[in-house]
Amino acid sequence: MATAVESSQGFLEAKPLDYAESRNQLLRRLTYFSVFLWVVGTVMGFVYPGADAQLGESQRIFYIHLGSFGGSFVTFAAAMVAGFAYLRTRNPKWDTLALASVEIGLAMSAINIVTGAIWARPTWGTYWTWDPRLTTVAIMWLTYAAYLFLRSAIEDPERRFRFASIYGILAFGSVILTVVIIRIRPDAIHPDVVGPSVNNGSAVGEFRLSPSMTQTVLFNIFAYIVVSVALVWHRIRLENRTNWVKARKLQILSES
Amino acid sequence: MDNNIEFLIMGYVAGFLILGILLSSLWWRYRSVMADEAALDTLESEIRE
Repeated sequence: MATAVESSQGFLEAKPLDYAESRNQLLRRLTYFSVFLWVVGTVMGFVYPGADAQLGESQRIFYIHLGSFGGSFVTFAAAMVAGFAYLRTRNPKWDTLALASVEIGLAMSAINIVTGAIWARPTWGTYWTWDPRLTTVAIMWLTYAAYLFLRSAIEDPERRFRFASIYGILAFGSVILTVVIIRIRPDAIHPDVVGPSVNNGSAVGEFRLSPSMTQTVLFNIFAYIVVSVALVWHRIRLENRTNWVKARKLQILSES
Repeated sequence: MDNNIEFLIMGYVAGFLILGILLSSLWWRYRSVMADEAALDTLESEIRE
């Protein structure tokens, strides 16, 4: 079993501040670009498409609701890819990517769930119901929340990385299930706004996307994906710095 | 048509609030790790002396 000092040695090789200037600049540009996209997407959601004839102004919640799901889907997919990459290479940098992705994905997913519940109140008459889509999204969120708790309970870094990689790969099944559930369960009341639907008129609050609504939905999905990528990158840097400080602490303690 | 604007406002406020909590958490942890780093620099220079 690797000791904490041994496993943290790698982090002491380079101070986290020593990133290439080109990378710092790229991150800075990505951050500004993501803020710009997010502001434009938000304003667009309020002013560009008209309100829905049946749902009124509350239908505009869908722009943030779908956008944040796009962000969580991409980050959870990144955690799965990082899991495979870690198992193949055993390089801890992939674990850092997975951890950062899950954390940002959970926040995006929380936005998705909360905004969905608020949209549901005037549409379904309740904030929450155990509809197949809502059930799977709750399972998905809890699965990834458990990822953070469970990985923090494993002290040995190598075991933790291995466990987190396998868990991250398997957990993506809950994301797939959330996406496909309203396409395979005909009794779902959650509207299937994008793509073909199998529901037999059971969906409540379904609306047809006008061209301006489609453009706003797609723009917001893109904006939230870019925001998520920028946040993951910042989170990775924070994790690297935290690990570097931890390793320094251990080194000073072992030397003194 | 029911306007439902109060739910629109509630939805966006809730979304921004979660995003704000995430950003604050990142900032707070960054500040905390920077403070630790400064403390380690001081400790290391004291040990060397």
